[in-house]
Amino acid sequence: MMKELRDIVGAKNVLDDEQTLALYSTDQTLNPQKKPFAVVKPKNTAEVQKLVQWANTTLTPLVPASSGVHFTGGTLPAQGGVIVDLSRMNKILEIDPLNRKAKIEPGVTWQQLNEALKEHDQMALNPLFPHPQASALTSSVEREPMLIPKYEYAEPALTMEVVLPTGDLFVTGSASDAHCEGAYPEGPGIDFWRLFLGAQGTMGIITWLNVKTEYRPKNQKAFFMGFDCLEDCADPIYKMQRRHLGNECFVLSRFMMAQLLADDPKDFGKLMADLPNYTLVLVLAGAPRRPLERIAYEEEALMEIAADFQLQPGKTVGGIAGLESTMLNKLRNLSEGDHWKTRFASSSQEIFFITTMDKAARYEDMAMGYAATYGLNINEVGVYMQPLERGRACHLQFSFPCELEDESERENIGSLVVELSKQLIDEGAFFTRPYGPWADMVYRRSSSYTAMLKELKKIYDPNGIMNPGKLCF
Amino acid sequence: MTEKAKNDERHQQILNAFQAAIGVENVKDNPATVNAYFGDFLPPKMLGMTMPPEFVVLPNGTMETQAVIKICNRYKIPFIPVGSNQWSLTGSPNRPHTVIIDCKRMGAIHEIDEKNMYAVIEPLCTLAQVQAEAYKRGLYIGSPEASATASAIGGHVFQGMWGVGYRLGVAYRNILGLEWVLPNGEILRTGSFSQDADNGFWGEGPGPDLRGMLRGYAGAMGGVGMVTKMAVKLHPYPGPKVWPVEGVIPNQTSVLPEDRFKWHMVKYESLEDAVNFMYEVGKAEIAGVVQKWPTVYYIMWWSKSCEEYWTEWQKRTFQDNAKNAVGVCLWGFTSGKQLEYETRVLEDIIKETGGKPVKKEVYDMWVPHNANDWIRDTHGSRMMRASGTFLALRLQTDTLKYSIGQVKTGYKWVDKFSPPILDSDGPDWIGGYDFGHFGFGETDFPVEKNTEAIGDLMGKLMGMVKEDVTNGLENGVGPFLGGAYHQMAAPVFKYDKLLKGIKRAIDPNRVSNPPHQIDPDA
Repeated sequence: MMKELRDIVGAKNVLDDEQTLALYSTDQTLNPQKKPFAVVKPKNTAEVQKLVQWANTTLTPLVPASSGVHFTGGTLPAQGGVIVDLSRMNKILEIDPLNRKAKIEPGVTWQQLNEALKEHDQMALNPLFPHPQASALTSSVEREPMLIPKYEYAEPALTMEVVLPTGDLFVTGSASDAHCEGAYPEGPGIDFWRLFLGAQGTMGIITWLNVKTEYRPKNQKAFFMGFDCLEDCADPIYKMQRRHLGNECFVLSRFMMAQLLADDPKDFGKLMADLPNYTLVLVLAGAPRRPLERIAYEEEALMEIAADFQLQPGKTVGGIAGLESTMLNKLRNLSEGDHWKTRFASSSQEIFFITTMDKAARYEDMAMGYAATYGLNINEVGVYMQPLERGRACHLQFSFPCELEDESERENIGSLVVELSKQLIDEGAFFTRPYGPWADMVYRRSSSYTAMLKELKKIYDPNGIMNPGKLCF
Repeated sequence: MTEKAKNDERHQQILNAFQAAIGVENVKDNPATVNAYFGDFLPPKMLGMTMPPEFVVLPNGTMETQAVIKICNRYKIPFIPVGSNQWSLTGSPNRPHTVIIDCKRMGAIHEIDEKNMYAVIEPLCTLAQVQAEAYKRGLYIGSPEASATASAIGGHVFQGMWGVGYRLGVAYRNILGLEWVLPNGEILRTGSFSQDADNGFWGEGPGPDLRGMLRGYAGAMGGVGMVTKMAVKLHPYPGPKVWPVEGVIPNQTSVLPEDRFKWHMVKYESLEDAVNFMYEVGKAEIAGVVQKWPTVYYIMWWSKSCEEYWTEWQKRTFQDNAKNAVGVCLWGFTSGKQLEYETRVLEDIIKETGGKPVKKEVYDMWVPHNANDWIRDTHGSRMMRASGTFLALRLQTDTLKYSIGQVKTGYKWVDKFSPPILDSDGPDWIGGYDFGHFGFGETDFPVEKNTEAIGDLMGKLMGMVKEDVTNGLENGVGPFLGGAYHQMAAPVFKYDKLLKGIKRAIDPNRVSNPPHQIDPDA
């Protein structure tokens, strides 16, 4: 087998040493370790196709992995097999400023994409301060929430090329017609592209993706509003989004904000002391034309809304010096170095789901209740609320710091995450991206959806070789 | 037993089953009713083989619809779900013993969540119904060219190229949770409905998004069962709570508050310049509606009769003054100051791109009478003014730039097929979606409806589609032919195995409007 793999991707791109296999056996989650028997690094679509054909012949599970940093368990080989590490496929194939899109391979990182787009006065639509080495393609395909809740920016994944689990090559949307420029997602046939989103690599290996990009604002102002409780954030955001205010808009709890801002670890304590319980961040961004005039009318509207709620949007909260420039710099320039989510502990165990903002506080109460029951300091529970599509819904996330080397902490936090997730699902939280243990919790509640997914999987992957053991497969 | 006696017995058996499932009064097989269910604006010859259905059934709700579809599976008889039934090319029976599932008893708006901006609706509920309720709450929804009298679910499943698509995209982006009876009679709930049948606020997942099976570029043509409940997105709207109308159709005018809505009609020397202008507007993220209408549209929408259409055609008011014009409606979502800001930005763009305002008399004809239709009710039936029907030869969606080539290719085919295609002044409808991230180019034109005159136009159109598919070109018109198109295009664009596999899985008895979406046995 190893010889066949070496013949496909070259000897130096097949790894089976213990150190490498151990590296791919685990990730930032508390999921059980799962060991592959090899890691292969193809350099192009043709090699990926050959690997998939080989896997069908040998009935070997393939697990696609696009970068070296993984936070969801999606790349752990549940049934062993071969990791297809796509980090060598790291080219930005095209930047199209006219139509505001970029064509990227799976190994392209957020940092790489953002840097390349700067030259074209464009920016990518990234999630909350992603790990700079995380794959931009995977984030988009896995439907991670973006920081800018404009409806027009949403659904950034446009068209893609996929090596199906059968080894066939398939191109979605208008890119399937070689005469077109690959901007439109629908067709050919039905909306196949949707079946690859949120699929955790079970429906095929995506070898390139066209994603929306947007203009990079030259003028912008960040405003901060402090709140004692999450519940109080919702109504002002509803109003702001209803009036189309701003670009980035999100809420972070004190703990998450402190982690984000504590570039120097010794600042963490003071930040925790100074920050409010919750901070709403709203960036007013000038458009390419008359940017300051746009900011001016939006700022005026913001102040009207703020007055209605007796809020005082400011350049800072908690008296933190230079907060506006720090935040804008972090938003526009993804930093190198340590990842902010692991500044307090070696990992951050996260629970995230979709809900509406008017229900967010109820779920937050539940999370804090569980945290207290499990002996955690509730001040060290992270909360992130991301309004989506003009506030029509929101992504709500709770994070629990956890030392990966500490077995008892792993056990405690692992149990908390499972039990709280069950309770949240019972109470209507919609886990639209069911990773790891959430899959069973979610799919057992939706029999018809699950049955249909399994039918689809049989059609796409008759030999069951593509990332088996994930979702309901 | 004679063949007729066997058929009569079988008919009675199925009738009894339907009547038992949904009530005697909700099953129709009398000639007066069944004959009303085939044929529409398209020339009769366009439809090919079409015939009345054997039954028209009117279930109420998901469970009754499921019962009807299960009966169809038991007796292996085809069914066609219809909403407002405006697309008989694939909505009319094409084979004997067909059952039409009419949704006339499913017209409720179950819920409007004002805060979280969505509505949960049944299939007969029209876009006009949803709009009226949305406006009261400071929200809005798009309206496709078929008009606001179309079924809102039908509009979302079919295509949904909204007049306001520049901001709302195509309808696929507005579908949330679905309750859907598959062709095999199983009920599929998607999005957040999959976890809670009473909560449809979110569309994706869990995991891979099964909304992908519902539609493609031109919908499912009834080939994937019937959606009985859908949650749809609503969007912030800065307009009045009741749509302002003066006069009576077709002499009505609608004037929206000037501090929040302002139309500009900008004319260019060439189509390329007009599209360049549209790019700049999109990049600046201004406006609520951006449309480059073909001159035939102006005349179709403006005229109140066929006679007036041709009189106006001869006058050439629109051909001479609105060729390559772009209509831009600025919206003050945030405040009146947004509108003032956008006006300044638009003036900058017009100056830089060499645009000129259309003559005041043309603006005054179009804007109060017709332009706002594109926000509320697109009134697609006005496309029938010239001849009683219309057709399209190109309808591709990709980039705005690509749309230029599309419509220009369309002109050539129009010339090639004239007559029976009527004079149409280079019909080039172009619009952008999502601030111009993508755009469509469509060539629409009036065509003779007379069966004699139309001759073999349908055969010629199929020839054009075949030629395009052979060249790997997806011309956008083909998908509207449903199964016949997918049969030829699927192998070329490499989706035949997947689409046939899905059809086999969900429709084992091939009862959901065969041969749509594709015939898996061919």
